[in-house]
Amino acid sequence: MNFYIYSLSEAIAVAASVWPAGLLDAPVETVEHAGLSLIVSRIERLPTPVRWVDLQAHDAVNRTVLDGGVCVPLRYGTMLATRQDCVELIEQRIDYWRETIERVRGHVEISIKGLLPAQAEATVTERVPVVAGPGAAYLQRRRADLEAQERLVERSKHLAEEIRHELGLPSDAVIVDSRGRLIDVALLIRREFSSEGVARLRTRIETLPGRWRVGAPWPPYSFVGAPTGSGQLRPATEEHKWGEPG
Amino acid sequence: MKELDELDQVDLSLLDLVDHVLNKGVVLTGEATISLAGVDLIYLGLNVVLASVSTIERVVGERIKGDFERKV
Repeated sequence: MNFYIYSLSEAIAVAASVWPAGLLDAPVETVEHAGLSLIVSRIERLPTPVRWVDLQAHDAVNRTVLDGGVCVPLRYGTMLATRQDCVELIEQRIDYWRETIERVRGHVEISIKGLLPAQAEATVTERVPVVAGPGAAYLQRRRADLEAQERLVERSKHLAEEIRHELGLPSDAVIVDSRGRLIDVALLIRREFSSEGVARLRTRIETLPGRWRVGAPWPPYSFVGAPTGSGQLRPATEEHKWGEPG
Repeated sequence: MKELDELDQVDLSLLDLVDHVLNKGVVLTGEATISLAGVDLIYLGLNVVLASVSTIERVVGERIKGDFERKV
Protein backbone atom coordinates (compact mmCIF):
# COMPACT_ATOMS: atom_id res chain seq x y z
CA MET A 1 0.00 0.00 0.00
CA ASN A 2 1.24 3.46 -0.89
CA PHE A 3 0.80 6.71 0.98
CA TYR A 4 -1.45 9.22 -0.73
CA ILE A 5 -0.81 12.70 0.63
CA TYR A 6 -3.49 15.35 1.00
CA SER A 7 -1.72 18.12 2.89
CA LEU A 8 0.57 19.03 5.74
CA SER A 9 -0.24 20.67 9.04
CA GLU A 10 1.04 21.00 12.56
CA ALA A 11 0.81 17.72 14.43
CA ILE A 12 -0.99 19.25 17.36
CA ALA A 13 -3.56 20.91 15.10
CA VAL A 14 -4.75 17.64 13.56
CA ALA A 15 -4.23 15.28 16.47
CA ALA A 16 -7.92 15.26 17.39
CA SER A 17 -9.43 15.72 13.94
CA VAL A 18 -12.46 13.68 12.97
CA TRP A 19 -11.75 12.74 9.40
CA PRO A 20 -14.17 12.27 6.53
CA ALA A 21 -13.73 9.31 4.20
CA GLY A 22 -10.59 9.75 2.17
CA LEU A 23 -9.74 8.95 -1.42
CA LEU A 24 -11.38 5.69 -2.50
CA ASP A 25 -13.05 5.68 0.95
CA ALA A 26 -9.71 4.91 2.55
CA PRO A 27 -9.27 5.96 6.18
CA VAL A 28 -7.34 9.15 6.79
CA GLU A 29 -4.36 9.08 9.11
CA THR A 30 -1.29 11.15 9.85
CA VAL A 31 2.45 10.68 9.60
CA GLU A 32 4.12 12.81 12.22
CA HIS A 33 7.65 14.13 12.34
CA ALA A 34 9.29 17.14 14.01
CA GLY A 35 5.97 18.53 15.17
CA LEU A 36 4.48 18.41 11.68
CA SER A 37 2.06 15.90 10.19
CA LEU A 38 1.37 14.77 6.68
CA ILE A 39 -2.27 13.86 6.24
CA VAL A 40 -2.43 10.64 4.26
CA SER A 41 -4.42 7.64 3.18
CA ARG A 42 -3.05 4.28 2.26
CA ILE A 43 -4.16 3.17 -1.15
CA GLU A 44 -2.74 0.92 -3.80
CA ARG A 45 -3.14 3.17 -6.79
CA LEU A 46 -4.67 6.41 -7.92
CA PRO A 47 -8.08 6.10 -9.56
CA THR A 48 -7.90 6.66 -13.30
CA PRO A 49 -9.46 8.57 -14.80
CA VAL A 50 -9.98 11.04 -12.00
CA ARG A 51 -13.59 11.35 -10.92
CA TRP A 52 -15.38 14.23 -9.32
CA VAL A 53 -15.71 12.23 -6.10
CA ASP A 54 -11.93 11.81 -5.98
CA LEU A 55 -11.31 15.54 -6.17
CA GLN A 56 -14.07 16.13 -3.64
CA ALA A 57 -12.55 13.58 -1.27
CA HIS A 58 -9.16 15.29 -1.53
CA ASP A 59 -10.71 18.66 -0.82
CA ALA A 60 -12.95 17.41 1.98
CA VAL A 61 -9.94 16.07 3.88
CA ASN A 62 -8.09 19.36 3.41
CA ARG A 63 -11.06 21.35 4.66
CA THR A 64 -11.02 19.24 7.80
CA VAL A 65 -7.32 20.02 8.15
CA LEU A 66 -8.11 23.71 7.71
CA ASP A 67 -10.66 23.49 10.53
CA GLY A 68 -7.75 22.60 12.77
CA GLY A 69 -6.17 25.95 12.07
CA VAL A 70 -3.57 25.56 9.35
CA CYS A 71 -3.50 23.63 6.10
CA VAL A 72 -0.74 23.42 3.50
CA PRO A 73 -2.64 21.61 0.75
CA LEU A 74 -0.93 19.44 -1.82
CA ARG A 75 -2.14 19.17 -5.35
CA TYR A 76 -4.15 16.07 -6.12
CA GLY A 77 -2.05 13.07 -7.02
CA THR A 78 0.98 12.84 -4.70
CA MET A 79 1.88 9.36 -3.51
CA LEU A 80 4.96 7.99 -1.79
CA ALA A 81 5.99 4.40 -1.23
CA THR A 82 6.53 4.12 2.52
CA ARG A 83 5.97 5.83 5.83
CA GLN A 84 9.71 6.52 6.01
CA ASP A 85 9.49 8.40 2.72
CA CYS A 86 6.77 10.56 4.23
CA VAL A 87 8.99 11.28 7.21
CA GLU A 88 11.82 12.19 4.88
CA LEU A 89 9.52 14.44 2.87
CA ILE A 90 8.89 16.42 6.02
CA GLU A 91 12.53 16.42 7.10
CA GLN A 92 14.11 17.28 3.74
CA ARG A 93 11.90 20.33 3.23
CA ILE A 94 11.26 21.29 6.81
CA ASP A 95 12.25 24.91 6.41
CA TYR A 96 9.82 25.32 3.55
CA TRP A 97 7.00 23.64 5.47
CA ARG A 98 7.50 25.82 8.52
CA GLU A 99 7.73 29.03 6.49
CA THR A 100 4.59 28.13 4.56
CA ILE A 101 2.69 27.25 7.71
CA GLU A 102 3.47 30.68 9.15
CA ARG A 103 2.44 32.33 5.91
CA VAL A 104 -0.97 30.67 5.71
CA ARG A 105 -1.73 30.12 9.41
CA GLY A 106 -5.28 31.21 10.20
CA HIS A 107 -5.94 32.20 6.58
CA VAL A 108 -8.26 31.03 3.85
CA GLU A 109 -8.25 31.67 0.13
CA ILE A 110 -11.01 33.62 -1.57
CA SER A 111 -11.09 33.44 -5.34
CA ILE A 112 -12.68 35.94 -7.68
CA LYS A 113 -13.19 35.07 -11.31
CA GLY A 114 -14.14 37.56 -13.96
CA LEU A 115 -14.73 37.91 -17.67
CA LEU A 116 -13.96 41.35 -19.08
CA PRO A 117 -16.27 42.77 -21.73
CA ALA A 118 -15.53 41.88 -25.35
CA GLN A 119 -15.16 45.59 -26.09
CA ALA A 120 -11.89 45.56 -24.14
CA GLU A 121 -10.34 43.45 -26.90
CA ALA A 122 -12.08 45.10 -29.79
CA THR A 123 -11.02 48.66 -29.00
CA VAL A 124 -7.48 48.43 -30.28
CA THR A 125 -8.04 46.10 -33.20
CA GLU A 126 -10.92 48.18 -34.53
CA ARG A 127 -8.66 51.21 -34.70
CA VAL A 128 -6.04 49.46 -36.82
CA PRO A 129 -6.30 50.71 -40.41
CA VAL A 130 -6.25 48.16 -43.20
CA VAL A 131 -3.00 48.16 -45.15
CA ALA A 132 -2.16 46.66 -48.50
CA GLY A 133 -0.40 43.29 -48.65
CA PRO A 134 -1.49 40.15 -46.77
CA GLY A 135 1.83 39.72 -44.96
CA ALA A 136 1.98 43.23 -43.62
CA ALA A 137 -1.70 43.10 -42.74
CA TYR A 138 -1.16 39.88 -40.77
CA LEU A 139 1.75 41.34 -38.86
CA GLN A 140 -0.22 44.47 -38.12
CA ARG A 141 -3.17 42.46 -36.78
CA ARG A 142 -0.81 40.30 -34.75
CA ARG A 143 0.77 43.35 -33.17
CA ALA A 144 -2.64 44.81 -32.44
CA ASP A 145 -3.71 41.54 -30.79
CA LEU A 146 -0.61 41.49 -28.61
CA GLU A 147 -1.14 45.09 -27.59
CA ALA A 148 -4.76 44.34 -26.75
CA GLN A 149 -3.64 41.38 -24.65
CA GLU A 150 -1.13 43.54 -22.80
CA ARG A 151 -3.86 46.06 -22.07
CA LEU A 152 -6.07 43.32 -20.68
CA VAL A 153 -3.28 42.09 -18.43
CA GLU A 154 -2.66 45.61 -17.14
CA ARG A 155 -6.36 46.11 -16.58
CA SER A 156 -6.53 42.84 -14.65
CA LYS A 157 -3.65 43.89 -12.43
CA HIS A 158 -5.24 47.27 -11.86
CA LEU A 159 -8.56 45.75 -10.85
CA ALA A 160 -6.82 43.29 -8.52
CA GLU A 161 -4.88 46.15 -6.96
CA GLU A 162 -8.12 48.07 -6.36
CA ILE A 163 -9.55 45.05 -4.60
CA ARG A 164 -6.39 44.56 -2.55
CA HIS A 165 -6.44 48.16 -1.36
CA GLU A 166 -10.12 47.99 -0.55
CA LEU A 167 -9.57 44.96 1.68
CA GLY A 168 -6.33 46.28 3.15
CA LEU A 169 -4.31 43.23 2.13
CA PRO A 170 -0.53 43.08 1.77
CA SER A 171 0.84 42.72 -1.74
CA ASP A 172 1.81 39.06 -1.30
CA ALA A 173 -1.77 38.17 -0.35
CA VAL A 174 -3.03 38.66 -3.89
CA ILE A 175 -2.26 36.52 -6.92
CA VAL A 176 -3.60 37.50 -10.32
CA ASP A 177 -3.77 35.24 -13.34
CA SER A 178 -5.25 36.60 -16.53
CA ARG A 179 -5.71 34.91 -19.89
CA GLY A 180 -7.34 37.06 -22.48
CA ARG A 181 -10.57 38.33 -21.01
CA LEU A 182 -10.55 35.83 -18.15
CA ILE A 183 -9.23 37.00 -14.78
CA ASP A 184 -8.58 34.84 -11.75
CA VAL A 185 -7.73 36.68 -8.53
CA ALA A 186 -6.79 34.72 -5.42
CA LEU A 187 -6.83 36.50 -2.06
CA LEU A 188 -5.35 35.26 1.20
CA ILE A 189 -7.61 36.49 3.99
CA ARG A 190 -7.70 35.98 7.73
CA ARG A 191 -10.30 33.32 8.39
CA GLU A 192 -12.23 35.41 10.91
CA PHE A 193 -12.71 38.09 8.25
CA SER A 194 -13.59 35.77 5.40
CA SER A 195 -17.37 36.24 5.68
CA GLU A 196 -16.99 40.00 5.76
CA GLY A 197 -14.47 39.85 2.93
CA VAL A 198 -16.78 37.77 0.73
CA ALA A 199 -19.69 40.14 1.41
CA ARG A 200 -17.60 43.21 0.55
CA LEU A 201 -16.26 41.59 -2.58
CA ARG A 202 -19.73 40.66 -3.79
CA THR A 203 -20.74 44.28 -3.42
CA ARG A 204 -17.56 45.52 -5.08
CA ILE A 205 -17.76 43.28 -8.14
CA GLU A 206 -21.13 44.77 -9.00
CA THR A 207 -19.22 47.93 -9.98
CA LEU A 208 -16.58 46.18 -12.10
CA PRO A 209 -16.85 45.90 -15.87
CA GLY A 210 -17.79 42.50 -17.26
CA ARG A 211 -19.01 39.46 -15.38
CA TRP A 212 -17.57 38.49 -11.98
CA ARG A 213 -18.22 35.98 -9.26
CA VAL A 214 -16.80 35.44 -5.80
CA GLY A 215 -16.08 31.89 -4.68
CA ALA A 216 -16.49 30.44 -1.21
CA PRO A 217 -13.42 30.21 1.05
CA TRP A 218 -10.88 27.50 0.21
CA PRO A 219 -7.76 26.06 1.80
CA PRO A 220 -4.88 28.23 0.53
CA TYR A 221 -4.02 26.21 -2.59
CA SER A 222 -2.68 29.26 -4.47
CA PHE A 223 -0.33 30.42 -1.73
CA VAL A 224 1.81 27.40 -1.00
CA GLY A 225 4.15 27.23 -4.00
CA ALA A 226 6.64 24.45 -4.66
CA PRO A 227 9.15 23.33 -2.07
CA THR A 228 12.80 22.86 -2.94
CA GLY A 229 14.85 20.22 -1.27
CA SER A 230 17.19 17.34 -1.82
CA GLY A 231 17.33 13.70 -0.97
CA GLN A 232 15.79 10.54 -2.23
CA LEU A 233 12.13 9.75 -1.83
CA ARG A 234 10.62 6.63 -3.22
CA PRO A 235 7.45 7.06 -5.22
CA ALA A 236 4.68 4.49 -5.37
CA THR A 237 6.31 1.09 -5.76
CA GLU A 238 6.80 -0.56 -9.12
CA GLU A 239 4.62 -3.51 -8.19
CA HIS A 240 1.62 -1.25 -8.02
CA LYS A 241 0.92 -0.13 -11.53
CA TRP A 242 -1.26 2.83 -12.37
CA GLY A 243 -4.82 1.83 -13.18
CA GLU A 244 -5.77 1.67 -16.83
CA PRO A 245 -7.46 4.79 -18.15
CA GLY A 246 -11.21 4.43 -18.36
CA MET B 1 -24.03 39.26 -12.77
CA LYS B 2 -27.61 38.15 -13.16
CA GLU B 3 -26.62 35.87 -16.02
CA LEU B 4 -23.80 34.33 -13.98
CA ASP B 5 -26.17 33.78 -11.08
CA GLU B 6 -28.41 31.81 -13.38
CA LEU B 7 -25.63 29.35 -14.19
CA ASP B 8 -25.81 26.07 -12.40
CA GLN B 9 -24.10 26.68 -9.06
CA VAL B 10 -23.05 23.04 -8.93
CA ASP B 11 -21.22 23.43 -12.24
CA LEU B 12 -19.41 26.54 -11.01
CA SER B 13 -18.45 24.81 -7.78
CA LEU B 14 -17.05 21.86 -9.69
CA LEU B 15 -15.04 24.21 -11.88
CA ASP B 16 -13.64 25.80 -8.73
CA LEU B 17 -12.80 22.33 -7.44
CA VAL B 18 -10.83 21.44 -10.56
CA ASP B 19 -9.11 24.82 -10.54
CA HIS B 20 -7.91 24.46 -6.96
CA VAL B 21 -7.27 20.75 -6.47
CA LEU B 22 -5.85 19.91 -9.88
CA ASN B 23 -4.24 23.21 -10.85
CA LYS B 24 -2.88 24.55 -7.55
CA GLY B 25 -1.45 23.31 -4.27
CA VAL B 26 2.00 22.06 -3.39
CA VAL B 27 3.79 20.20 -6.14
CA LEU B 28 6.83 18.20 -5.21
CA THR B 29 9.76 18.80 -7.49
CA GLY B 30 13.19 17.37 -7.87
CA GLU B 31 14.76 14.16 -8.97
CA ALA B 32 13.79 12.38 -5.78
CA THR B 33 10.20 11.98 -6.79
CA ILE B 34 10.50 11.41 -10.47
CA SER B 35 12.20 8.07 -10.82
CA LEU B 36 10.18 4.97 -11.41
CA ALA B 37 11.85 2.24 -13.40
CA GLY B 38 13.85 4.94 -15.09
CA VAL B 39 10.72 6.81 -16.15
CA ASP B 40 9.83 10.24 -14.90
CA LEU B 41 7.14 9.74 -12.22
CA ILE B 42 6.02 13.31 -12.31
CA TYR B 43 5.76 12.93 -16.03
CA LEU B 44 3.64 9.86 -15.46
CA GLY B 45 1.67 11.62 -12.75
CA LEU B 46 0.98 14.55 -14.99
CA ASN B 47 -0.13 12.22 -17.70
CA VAL B 48 -2.54 10.55 -15.36
CA VAL B 49 -3.92 13.88 -14.26
CA LEU B 50 -3.95 15.39 -17.75
CA ALA B 51 -5.80 12.41 -19.10
CA SER B 52 -8.30 12.80 -16.35
CA VAL B 53 -8.67 16.52 -16.96
CA SER B 54 -9.36 15.75 -20.59
CA THR B 55 -12.05 13.35 -19.51
CA ILE B 56 -13.52 15.93 -17.20
CA GLU B 57 -13.52 18.52 -19.97
CA ARG B 58 -15.16 16.13 -22.37
CA VAL B 59 -17.91 15.20 -19.95
CA VAL B 60 -18.62 18.53 -18.32
CA GLY B 61 -16.59 21.34 -19.82
CA GLU B 62 -18.37 21.61 -23.14
CA ARG B 63 -21.70 22.15 -21.44
CA ILE B 64 -20.36 24.65 -18.93
CA LYS B 65 -18.41 26.56 -21.57
CA GLY B 66 -21.45 26.72 -23.76
CA ASP B 67 -23.58 28.04 -20.91
CA PHE B 68 -20.97 30.60 -19.95
CA GLU B 69 -20.50 31.93 -23.46
CA ARG B 70 -24.23 32.15 -24.05
CA LYS B 71 -24.72 34.07 -20.82
CA VAL B 72 -22.03 36.62 -21.41
